Amino acid sequence: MIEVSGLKKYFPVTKGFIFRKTIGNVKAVDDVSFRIPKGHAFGLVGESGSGKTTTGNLVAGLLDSTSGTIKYREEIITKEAARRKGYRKRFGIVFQDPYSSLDPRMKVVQSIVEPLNVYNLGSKKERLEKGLKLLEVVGLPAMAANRYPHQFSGGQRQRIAIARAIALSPELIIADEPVSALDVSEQARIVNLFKDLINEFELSYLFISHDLSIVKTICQDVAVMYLGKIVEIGTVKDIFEKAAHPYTIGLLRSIPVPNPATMRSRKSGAVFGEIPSPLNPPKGCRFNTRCPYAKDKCRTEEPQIDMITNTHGVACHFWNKLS
Amino acid sequence: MSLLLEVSDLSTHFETSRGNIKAVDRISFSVRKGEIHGLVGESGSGKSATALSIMRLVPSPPGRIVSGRVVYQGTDLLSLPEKEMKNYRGGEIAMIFQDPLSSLNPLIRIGDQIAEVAVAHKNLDKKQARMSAMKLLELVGISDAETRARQYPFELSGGMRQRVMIAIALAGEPSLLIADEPTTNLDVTIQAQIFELMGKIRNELGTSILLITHNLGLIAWLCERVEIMYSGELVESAETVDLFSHHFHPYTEALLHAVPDIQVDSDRLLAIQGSVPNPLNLPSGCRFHPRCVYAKEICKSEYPELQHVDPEHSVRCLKYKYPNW
Repeated sequence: MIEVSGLKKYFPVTKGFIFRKTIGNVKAVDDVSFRIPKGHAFGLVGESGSGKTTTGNLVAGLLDSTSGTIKYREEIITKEAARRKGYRKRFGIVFQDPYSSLDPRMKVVQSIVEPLNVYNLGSKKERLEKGLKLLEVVGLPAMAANRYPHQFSGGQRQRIAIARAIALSPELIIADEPVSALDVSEQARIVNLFKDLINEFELSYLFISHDLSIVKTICQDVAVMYLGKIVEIGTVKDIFEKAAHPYTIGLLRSIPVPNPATMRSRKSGAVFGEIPSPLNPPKGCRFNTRCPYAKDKCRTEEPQIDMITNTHGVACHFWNKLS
Repeated sequence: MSLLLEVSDLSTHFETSRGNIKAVDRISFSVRKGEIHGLVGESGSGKSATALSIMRLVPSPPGRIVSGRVVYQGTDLLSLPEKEMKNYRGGEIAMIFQDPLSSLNPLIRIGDQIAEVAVAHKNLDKKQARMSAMKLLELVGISDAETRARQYPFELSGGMRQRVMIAIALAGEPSLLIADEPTTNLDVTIQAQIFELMGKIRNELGTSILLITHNLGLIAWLCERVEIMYSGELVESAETVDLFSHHFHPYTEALLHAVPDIQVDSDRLLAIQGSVPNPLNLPSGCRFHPRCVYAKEICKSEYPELQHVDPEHSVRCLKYKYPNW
């Protein structure tokens, strides 16, 4: 349903006030390709500077790409097309910060039905009914409708944001770190809600997160990004049980699990070093400066994605030779 | 192992226009020499207020430590005049916070920020302090210390800034380091590095650490013993290994099931119903009862005291007071 192909987004870095000169580019997204079939949850995982948020903004039609295409049902999405053809009706967006994504001066029900207002759908009465129905779907009581965002907890606000995101019955929800700012107990509620919504409304997700454990719970397919590139892509089983890229392996070993025996028997030094600046990424394979297996080829030649199976791909010169 | 810190019956309240908030309500626990001790809680649990109370950094007004003792190596810190407390703060007891960018002075080079502590607490002269700062930068894993020492905080990445915070904390040669959510804002690979560093600090320097976090995985990694806080109170206290295999409090159980574990194939996470109680309108009886799957009528009226289920394991729950629940 969504097909991303060779997507690139470069942000120019300029110098000077009157006569601006482009001195370089931040290659935030650099040749990214993936597919999201209907009814599938696709996880996009990465740390700072990986390009995952920019990718989300591109798919949502909030940004124009530098090159490459994003197709929604065979039609190409650009920022202009998104606005003109009303693609934004078909996509719902949920952001990370539940404290700034809701207008503090609008009542909850007003925020939820705002998309209906924007596209002039239904009578005032119908919109209100829909608003109440949506509150029910996300598990909030009807009396929440006339309250204001500040009267709710982070998790509750996020549920309001989700209700708003599904107001226009979208086919795709783009969620950028939707649970990162929430307490553990609230996270669980929202994660379960996301899962329920897939089944109930046959939704697809582009679920962006740095938290692999949450992605594992919600998504069927995952792509791991590092400094603008996809380093590994596959089903949840491929990534979590048969990770092939040194970065993915290191990332999995860095995730704390609530199990003392496991944590204390882990080898130290999962991933060393700092994440390089996206302004000046390493030559060759971008992970080479932190990779325990890096060889000369890694420092000069950029690896392409090799398909290990028909679902599992990895961008590493030596993936099948790692110990 | 001998006791380094003993907190007894500590209570810290905040006076607001709408009433009195018992942010910390009669907390007692101890930290041994060379131990990494965990304090777990979510928002509103009182864990950060506890740390600030130990350091006597509670904003006053509106906050006030109303009772209890914080005995550090035999001295009750709460009874000291501020002048003497200043000697402990940053020296014997140091603290690192969640956001290094707001805790570091943006106008002073990081080498100087580290050296400043050595001059204030260890009475070193400038030259000695600078050398000590270099050594500390290396200890915390910052390579190219000479260059880094001359940089300003904005020139460093989040992980590096946190390492600098740790170096500043170590400059006073503390026996106790309080770490309040030290890696919440950091990437997971950098978080792993910082935690390895904290383990190294305990192993090589013998520094005790009071680790405050909501992340149970991190607790499982480094802590010997752990306290679980809810709504200002301690609800369970145990050795870490014991807590994960034999937890007693329903909140602990719920918390453990709410965390996604990549080793386990789970279809759904166990969500805790309801939400954290309003501190101005606490539930009667047990504070957790409105959200508890095991709650009975008596939980609404009788307030549960902490009781031992094992010498090293205590829990605040009526389920263990009355047999045949």
